[in-house]
Amino acid sequence: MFSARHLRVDLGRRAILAGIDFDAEAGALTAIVGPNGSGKTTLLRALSGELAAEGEIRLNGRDMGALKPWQLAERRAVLPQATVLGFPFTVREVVGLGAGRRSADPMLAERALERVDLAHFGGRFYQELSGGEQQRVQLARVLCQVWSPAIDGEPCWLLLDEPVSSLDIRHQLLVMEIARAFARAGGGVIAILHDLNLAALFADRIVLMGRGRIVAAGPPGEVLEDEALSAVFGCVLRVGVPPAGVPFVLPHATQLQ
Amino acid sequence: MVTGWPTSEALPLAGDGSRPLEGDRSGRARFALAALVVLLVVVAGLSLATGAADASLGRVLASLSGSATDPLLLRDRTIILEIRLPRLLLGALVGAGLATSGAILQGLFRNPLADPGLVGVSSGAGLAAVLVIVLGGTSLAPLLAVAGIYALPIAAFAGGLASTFLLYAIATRRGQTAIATMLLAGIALGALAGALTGLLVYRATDAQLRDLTFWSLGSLAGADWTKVATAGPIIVTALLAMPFVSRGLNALTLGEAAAYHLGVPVERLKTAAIFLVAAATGAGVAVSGGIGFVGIVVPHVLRLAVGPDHRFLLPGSALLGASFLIAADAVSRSVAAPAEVPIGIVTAMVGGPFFLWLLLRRRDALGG
Repeated sequence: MFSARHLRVDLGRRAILAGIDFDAEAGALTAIVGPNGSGKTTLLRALSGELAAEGEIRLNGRDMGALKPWQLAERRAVLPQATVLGFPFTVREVVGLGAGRRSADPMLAERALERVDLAHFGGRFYQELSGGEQQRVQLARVLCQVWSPAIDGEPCWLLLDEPVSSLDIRHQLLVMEIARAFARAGGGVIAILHDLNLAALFADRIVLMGRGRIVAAGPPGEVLEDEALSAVFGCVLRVGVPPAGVPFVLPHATQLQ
Repeated sequence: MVTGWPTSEALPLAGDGSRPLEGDRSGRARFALAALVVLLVVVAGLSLATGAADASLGRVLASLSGSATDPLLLRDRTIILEIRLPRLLLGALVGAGLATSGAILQGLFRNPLADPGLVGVSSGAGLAAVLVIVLGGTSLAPLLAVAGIYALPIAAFAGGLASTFLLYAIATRRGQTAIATMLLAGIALGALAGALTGLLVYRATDAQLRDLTFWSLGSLAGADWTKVATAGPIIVTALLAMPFVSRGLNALTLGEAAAYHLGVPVERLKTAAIFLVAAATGAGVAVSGGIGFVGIVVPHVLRLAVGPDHRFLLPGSALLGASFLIAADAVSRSVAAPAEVPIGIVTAMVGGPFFLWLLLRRRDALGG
C-alpha cells in the first residue's frame, strides 16, 4: 500500500498540490492522468521522497520520512521522463547502476535488457541511442533496482513518469505489459500516462488530476466518463464502450471548448 | 509478449562467465589499473636515475645494505635520497591528488571540463597559502604557533574548501550545473584570488617574495622530506577515502534525483566530494603551488580508455596523475638544463592544447 494524506506542495507562493489523499494498492496498476500542469509529476516526485511535501506519505505502512534513501531504494524504483547522462556510459553500465550492490550477478542487466526488447544493446553507448531506446534502457535500470515484485511478502513499487511517452506502439504495449506483469506478481505500479486509452486498457485504477487536486479516482469504467474528462481537460470528450466493456476515448469526436 | 513475472531461477543463463559481456568494461579497467601500476614504477625508476648530477642509482641501491665510505658514493647517496627521492614522492603525491580532485570535481559537476585549476579551487587554496606566508609573522602568528608546519596545508585546504563551496553554490541551481556559469565563475574567483594575492605581495619581505614567486608558477623545486611529511598524510587520506564516493558519483551521472532514487544520500555525497577535492588540491597547492591541467588531462584520457566508472576512474587517475607529474618534472628539469623550467609551464604546454581540443570536440554540445 502506497498512500498519502493531506499532501500539499508549494512552489514559491503557488500551491502545486493541495489536499491530496492518494492511495495505490499493491498488485494493481494505478494510472495518474490529467492535463499538463495538473500536478501529476509533482505528486510522483513527492511520493518518491525526492520532493519535500507537507502531509503524510506511507510506503507499505511505514512513514516515509523515517526511511533512509537506501531503505527507500530497496522498496521502490523511479523512472524519470528523460535522463541525460553526464558521461559516456555503455548501455550495460547504465543498467548496472540500477543493480547497485547486486551487480555481483552479471546476468541481471542482461535479463533486464532482454525484457525491454534491447538484448544485444549492452555494448552500445547510451548517448547514441534514440529517445525511445534510452527510455527503455532506463526502464531496464529501474527493473534491476527492484527486480522482485515482492520481498518477504512485502511489495516493491515502480513509479513511472510517462513511461511510454517516446515509444512506438509496439513498445508502448510491451512496457505496459511489463508494468502489468509486475503488478500481477504482487508488486505495485504507479504510472503517469497521457494516453487515456492505454490507461483504460492497462490500469486497474485511474486517478484523474486537475489543477493540483484529485478530481476522481476509481476503476477506469467509473473515472473515464464524459463530464469529468471534458471539465478537467477543457474540451468536449466522448467516452465510448466497445462490447468488451473497456472504455475508449476517440479524438475524432472531440471539439475544443 | 510478456507473460507473468520471471523469477531469477526461471531465467536462462545467456553466458558462461568466461567471455566478457557486451558493454562491460570492468575487465579492461582492471587490466588498465595493473598497467598503470607498472607505468608508475617505470617512470619513478627513470626519474630517480636521471638528473643534473650523474649520480648512479644502481650503485646507491647496492650500497643501501652496507655502510659506505667512498666519498663519491656518499655524494650519490645524498643526491638520490635527499634530493631526488623526496621530489619524486612529492611529485607523485601532488599529481595523484590533483588528478583525483579533477575526476571527483567532474563527477560532482557532471561535466568533463571541471578542473581544480580552471575553476579557481587552486587559486583559492593559493591565496590562503600566501596569506599564511605573508602574514605568518604578524597577524596570523598564533595560527602558525598552533599548527606548525601544517599551517600552510591547512590554510590551503580551507581556501580550497571555501572556493569549491562558493563555486558550487554559484554554478548549481536545483541540482543542475550550468557549465558556462561554472567556468565563468571559476575565472572570476580565480581573478579575485589573483588580485588579492597581488595585493599581499606588496606587503611581503624579500624572503617571502621568493616563496611567493614559487606559488605563482607552480614547481617541485623546493621539494624536501618536510614537504613530503606535510602534504603526504593529507593526500594519502583523501586517496584512501575515494572508494566511499565512487558508487555515489556513478549514480550522480544520472542526475541528482535519480541518484537519490537509487539510494544515494546525495547531500552527504556532495559534501564529502567537496571536502576530498579541497583536501587533496589544498595540500598539493601548499607544497607545490598552482600546477594546472593535471586534473583535466588525466581523467579524460582514462575515460577514453576504460570508461567513466568512478570505481576505476579514481584509482586510475591517482596512478596516472602521479606518473604524469613525475614525467613532467623530469622534462622540466632536463629541457633547459642545467636551468630548471617551472613544472606548471610543462603541464600547461600539454594541458592548454588538450583543453582546446576538448572544447572543439564538445562545441556542438556546448551550443557554441
